[in-house]
Amino acid sequence: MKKYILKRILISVVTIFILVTVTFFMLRTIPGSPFNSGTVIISSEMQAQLEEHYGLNRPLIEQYGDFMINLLKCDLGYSLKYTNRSVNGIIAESAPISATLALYAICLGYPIGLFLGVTSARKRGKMIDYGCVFFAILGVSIPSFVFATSMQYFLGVKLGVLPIAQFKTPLHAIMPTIALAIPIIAGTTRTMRASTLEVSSQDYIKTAKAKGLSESQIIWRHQMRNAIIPIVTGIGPTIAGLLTGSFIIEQIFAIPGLGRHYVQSITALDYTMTMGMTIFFGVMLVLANLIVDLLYGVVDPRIVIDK
Amino acid sequence: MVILKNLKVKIKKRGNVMKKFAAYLLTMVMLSSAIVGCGSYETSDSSEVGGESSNIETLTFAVGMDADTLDAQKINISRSGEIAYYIYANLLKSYNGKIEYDIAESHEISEDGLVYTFNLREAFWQDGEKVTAEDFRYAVERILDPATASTQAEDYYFIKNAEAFNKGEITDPSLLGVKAIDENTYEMTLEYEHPYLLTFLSVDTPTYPVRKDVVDQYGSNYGSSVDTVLCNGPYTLTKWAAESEIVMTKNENYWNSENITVNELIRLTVADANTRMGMFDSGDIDCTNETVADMAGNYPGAEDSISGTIRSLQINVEGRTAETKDLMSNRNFINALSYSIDRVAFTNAVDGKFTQPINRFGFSSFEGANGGSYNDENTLTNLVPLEGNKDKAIEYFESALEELGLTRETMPTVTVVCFDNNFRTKAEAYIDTWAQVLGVTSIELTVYPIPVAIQNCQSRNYDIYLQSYSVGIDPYDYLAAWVSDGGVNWTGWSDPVYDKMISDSKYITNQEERYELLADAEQYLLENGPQIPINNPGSYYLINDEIQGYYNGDGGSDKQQFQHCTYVN
Repeated sequence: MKKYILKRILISVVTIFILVTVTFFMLRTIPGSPFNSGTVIISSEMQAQLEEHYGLNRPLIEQYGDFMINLLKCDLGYSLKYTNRSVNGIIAESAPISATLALYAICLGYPIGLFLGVTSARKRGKMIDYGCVFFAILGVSIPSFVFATSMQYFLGVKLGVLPIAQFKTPLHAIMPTIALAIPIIAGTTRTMRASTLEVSSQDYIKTAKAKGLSESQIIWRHQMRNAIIPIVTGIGPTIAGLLTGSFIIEQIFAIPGLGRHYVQSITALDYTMTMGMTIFFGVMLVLANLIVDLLYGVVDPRIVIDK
Repeated sequence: MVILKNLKVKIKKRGNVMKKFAAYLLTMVMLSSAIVGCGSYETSDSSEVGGESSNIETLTFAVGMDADTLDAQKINISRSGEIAYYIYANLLKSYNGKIEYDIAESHEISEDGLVYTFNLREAFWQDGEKVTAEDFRYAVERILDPATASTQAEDYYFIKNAEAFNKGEITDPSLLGVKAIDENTYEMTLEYEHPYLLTFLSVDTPTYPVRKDVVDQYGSNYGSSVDTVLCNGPYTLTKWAAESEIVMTKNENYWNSENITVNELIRLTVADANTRMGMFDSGDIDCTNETVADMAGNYPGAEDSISGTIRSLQINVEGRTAETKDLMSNRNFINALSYSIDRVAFTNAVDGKFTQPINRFGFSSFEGANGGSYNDENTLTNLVPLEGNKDKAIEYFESALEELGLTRETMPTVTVVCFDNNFRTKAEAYIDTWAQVLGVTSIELTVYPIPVAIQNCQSRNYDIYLQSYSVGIDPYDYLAAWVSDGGVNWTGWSDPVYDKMISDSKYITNQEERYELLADAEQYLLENGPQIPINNPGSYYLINDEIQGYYNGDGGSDKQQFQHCTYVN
């Protein structure tokens, strides 16, 4: 097990190194200057002067070297857009907010999704099944901002029961959590329904029934455990994606998370910020996948990872 | 997406105040106490609302973007400037369209108009130390110091030796034209006359004072959080949750704090415009001035907020390719493009009721030398009708084709460049019009993110560029941008006659004559230059109708002026 984890971490480091290198050079092929990115248009002369100050006119390979050395010291540098604020600081400030919201959405989304999926499979062909499937298709196909703005309008403006935006009290978290959880619920319901149905026709379920096990024992000990594996596979990227924030949901609900920084830093050509965000997202994804791989062993002892 | 809505390049507000200043300055009268309404604030607009008013405990407003920094010398977006307006005191401050003394108590100008001396009043920093002339001097030095890498530097080149110092040709800051004569006397020496210096210092690129010891203490983190900012203005910064909320609390140590009627200002960052509108509707916020144009109909009482921006089609007279060069430098072709567009219909359909169609560059709201509208006092000839003229457009187009030996089919592909925001719809609409009116199908649109679009402009990789440009509403500001060596003149257009008109206008002291010359230059630019005027974009703001005394600036650092708001009782 230890050996496996060590090996995986080593591979992760290489993956992230490649990610950083490719992103670094690709980012610089985007034409334009971070100092003329929209808010203030400055003269070409001034722009050149600033580029010189920040060392952006030096050979790319030299800049890359500096960046990598600083990266080893875990220093992501200063944002070019948010003058005087370090990228590390910005991530440290916004990541917990995105993470909190992600946690809420996961805690709400997966249990409901699993429940609906299993229920739907068990009541196959009944009204409740159609209801769940209908909801799942709706949830998967309608973008989350539609739910978000509808909730804002009805719950916030019309009824006035929930605050429209900002992220301050638990009350503020309700609408964004639901908006983020809906696609998770829908996706999980669909996957879980399909895999539960598949598992139900397996011989071991028949055996369990023949043994006289109770319905709930069959579901919990046999069906669920086997059916959940596809969900576990998807959980890694979903968590990583949620942790780095959702641009649209954060934008609509005015939540100061990471998602907005990621998108905006690219359009503003804020090189340091984009690099920082990419590395952060990369590390999160690699970590989440590692945890998921370890989880397989727990969920299904037949999967042996230590090879 | 959010950033793109705020394409104010650098915004100045002038109006009639400017005229008064210009009149004083240009006649080089010694000014010592003639500043408009110095120190006397009017806290309520009694003409509007009768009855009593009461102070406001907390006023909440929402904007689309957070501050990038509160390091006053590095601020480069108006969003940050709006906060600096509250937390830093300046020599002079703009309020309700007037410029008033702030820390300066009086000032004198030398006869040649090159030396400004400001006498400072007793004012204090948040930590109790006195604000001195040295703090103002150091601020200018810091802006110009190449090590600061401030984008404001080139705005300050009018100060003696500023350009040489900023470019590292001289390194001794004592050679700069800024001096602290003593603790309370601050002197500025200019390289050349700056007719609107006082407006510049208070609205355009304000020189807020800064303490060297504080800058040294926080180093590169200065101005990035509540703990690394030292305030001296009407408010102090008490909370800055990045991308979310800024709280400013009334500063009892501010010299004029008794006239500040709002105790706490909460500025929320809400990136989505629809969300801001929803928050206003549900009463979560008291005011927002970044609104959704399409929703104007829902708020019949919405107030107009003019942005001081000129939207135009910029022509690259050198052409993107060798093939388009002849076309883009052909006057008849440019006229054909201009005459095709029905500016009134476009504005109504695409931009909403607060936008004004234009056929020249002067602002109709700008006051001329004799008190009327600048545009009425300085009429131009041969202006394109606001509704366009399709027959004339076709006539121009036919002549252009004939001159160049082209037909509609052999016409080279003309590339229109615009930003990938709401400009796209507008650009598509113009191209569609040209196709309908002129029958041209070889005009194509290329949409880029802002930095890429600007890069393409700099490298002349465009034929037509949909531009939104805000400098100031004095005609000189816009016109001066298109001289041969203009910093943002990325059009390839260079004309010695025009250059001379603009540079001559700097030395005319009679305002009427100056405006006449500028109007001539405007006429010349319209007939020969690389810009086709389209409209002055505007929008509207929303404010809780129980609040009075709010003043919405034209879009500089004084964009939102809440400090003297009160409740209507």
